[in-house]
Amino acid sequence: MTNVNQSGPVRSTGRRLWDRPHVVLLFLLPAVIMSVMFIAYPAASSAYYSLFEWQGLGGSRQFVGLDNWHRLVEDPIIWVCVWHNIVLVITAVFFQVPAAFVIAFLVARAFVIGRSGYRVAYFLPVILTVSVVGVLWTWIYHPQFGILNEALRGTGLDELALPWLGSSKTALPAVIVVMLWRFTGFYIVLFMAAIARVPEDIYDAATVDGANLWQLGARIVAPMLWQVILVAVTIAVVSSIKRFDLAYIMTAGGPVHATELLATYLFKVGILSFNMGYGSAIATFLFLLTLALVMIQFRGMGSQQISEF
Amino acid sequence: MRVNRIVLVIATLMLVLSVVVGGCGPTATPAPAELTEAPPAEPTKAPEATATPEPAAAEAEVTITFWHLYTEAMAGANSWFKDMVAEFEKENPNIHVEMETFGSDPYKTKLPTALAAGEAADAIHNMAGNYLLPNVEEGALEPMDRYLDEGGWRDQFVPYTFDQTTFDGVTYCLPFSLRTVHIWYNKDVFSEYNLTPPETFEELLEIADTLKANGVTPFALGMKMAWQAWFWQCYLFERVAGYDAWLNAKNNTGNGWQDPGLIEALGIMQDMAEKGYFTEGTLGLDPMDVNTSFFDGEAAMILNGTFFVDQVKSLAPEGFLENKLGYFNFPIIEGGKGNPKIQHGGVGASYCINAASPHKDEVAKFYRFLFTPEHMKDLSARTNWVMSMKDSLPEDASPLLKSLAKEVEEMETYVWYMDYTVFPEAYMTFEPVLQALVDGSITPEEAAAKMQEAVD
Repeated sequence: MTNVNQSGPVRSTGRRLWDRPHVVLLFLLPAVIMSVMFIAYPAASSAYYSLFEWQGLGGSRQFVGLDNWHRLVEDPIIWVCVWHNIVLVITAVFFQVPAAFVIAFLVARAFVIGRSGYRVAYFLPVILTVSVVGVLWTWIYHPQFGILNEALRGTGLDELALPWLGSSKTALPAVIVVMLWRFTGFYIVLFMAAIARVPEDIYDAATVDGANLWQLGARIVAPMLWQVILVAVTIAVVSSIKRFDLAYIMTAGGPVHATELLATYLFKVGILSFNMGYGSAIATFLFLLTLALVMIQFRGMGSQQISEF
Repeated sequence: MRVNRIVLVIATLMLVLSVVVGGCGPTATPAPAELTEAPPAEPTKAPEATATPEPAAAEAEVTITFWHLYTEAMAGANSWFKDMVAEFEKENPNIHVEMETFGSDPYKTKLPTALAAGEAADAIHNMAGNYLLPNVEEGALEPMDRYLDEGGWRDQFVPYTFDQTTFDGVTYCLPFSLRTVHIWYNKDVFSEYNLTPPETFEELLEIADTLKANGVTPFALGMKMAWQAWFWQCYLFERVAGYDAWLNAKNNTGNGWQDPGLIEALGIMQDMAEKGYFTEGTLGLDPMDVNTSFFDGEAAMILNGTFFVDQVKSLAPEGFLENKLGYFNFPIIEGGKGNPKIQHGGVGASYCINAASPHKDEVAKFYRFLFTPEHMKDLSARTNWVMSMKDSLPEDASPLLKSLAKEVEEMETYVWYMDYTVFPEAYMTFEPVLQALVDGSITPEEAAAKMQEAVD
């Protein structure tokens, strides 16, 4: 690059506007401000409030040190929540993202006709308001009037017409199905956009070399899209740990904590039970857990740099 | 240069990531002032009336915001409030009331969130009993004694109704509705199988068996939110162990929540669940959702509070309220210590003044307008509800209302709603315990132990 051979500090007389450090900083500023205001400051506040006994209505706070944290470690429900969140993460990372990639690849390469139709169909659930999705599926799952059970009874599979959201065995899988239905489209569209940037000659060269569709997908395109996959997995991990809306709307974390997630439990404890101190401890715990998982994930995935095209 | 380009890429990625992550999932680490997520109203409830919760501070013009729970699902009360607001505004041209309605369960989330964020309305509907304690301790509610002592307003209320809104001698809220919980039944279904209201609990179970044998769900019950199931448990507790045992539990004295009577009561409920007396899949059903099965005749009975009557009027098919709705009191258990003159219920709702409101006197004026015997009679006539004010029974009351009012008059005392008896934090633990009991995953002894643990 031109400036490398200059002696002294880099001066802001680079040829391009975006080479100048001040400009770069300016572009970074919105992200930094947003990060601090909506992520760093609340996270730090939560950690601070977790050291208090506080009802959350703005009144007296009583310093109790690590009491809330002791309670957190000993609370069996927390670990149930952690387990459920981990199940969500595993489902998202090892099932949802790969499935989305496969679908995106197939739609891009094999089912080229009607591609935009697919894109719309897959993305539609993503843009529906989450409360609409939750209520819709609650009615689909209704034991007596829901279309799922009616269909099962209609085809003679009466024993399968279970109370999906009412049984502690089926509630979590039922809710996960809805989450998959809702968000997979997002990853599909993300991947479709990335796959579209792969130049056609790569495919031509590979096909000439005798590569079939599977090899094209797994051996050539997937490594090229690694950074995008990394982003997708990060999103999957973070949103799985943070998940609140669908679980709370459909089952309120029940029955008997069968679908309780860290966020729903936090809500029940912090807001509904007027115990914001303990709620803040759970919130901070959630943040640290997310941080840990994302760092592990970057360790495992971030080192591959096969992009630059 | 390579370095700057990488920086640029990372910056863009961060920006995109922060927007995307913020957009495709909810905000998880809620700082106390920041929570924006609130569950929506359920499908059977009407949408909220649009209103802005910002009290305008014009010179003589005052706008007060008012929240209550009587959506179009309770058309009688809803229309009453609308009419009252209109009349009040006519009589007081400088006061404007902006009303907003919510569903009952969403409201239990909305109110604490709003109070915590300082966004609650000036005049707020609230629960009663110990449910109010966190609000009271935080000073979120304005004491109303000075208003009540003016002009003998206090004496217009039935005295014991203040028990559930007074703490440490200070009255914080105005008791509104006076509820009793009864078993409502579909007269058509009963006559179809030649059934009559039972005198004892054993007879009730026989009726349930007959119904079950004929493919009718005996009792409609939705347990996604546990309050409807607690009606059962509170009655069973009283009927088995007697009022004093309940009082001990409430005050955490004596045997508290591990009273053998309670354990027996829990066991009875577990048996009933096992025998399939309740709606199938009850644990996943919202209490409001099971109403339909009752109106359709798929379920013959439902244990519900008297607020149900206005729901029947609004949601049931034409003529159901007049012709098909019957009720009987929860029967006694033979050999139990219960008193048939003791009901379950009490003050159902109350109205409070937000302590942070700049228009407390205007709100008090509004309440004074609402809480008069004359207006209460009007409400009573529209809804068939019994209210907490004296002389609030309309002259042309329907037979149903007269009957319900008589129940209230004759009852000796009452067992409070469960979520008014124990503090919210304990109640949060009670809920899954009852669900687990009905699920069959814990024994009654374990359930009672957990309940006791939650209260300690």
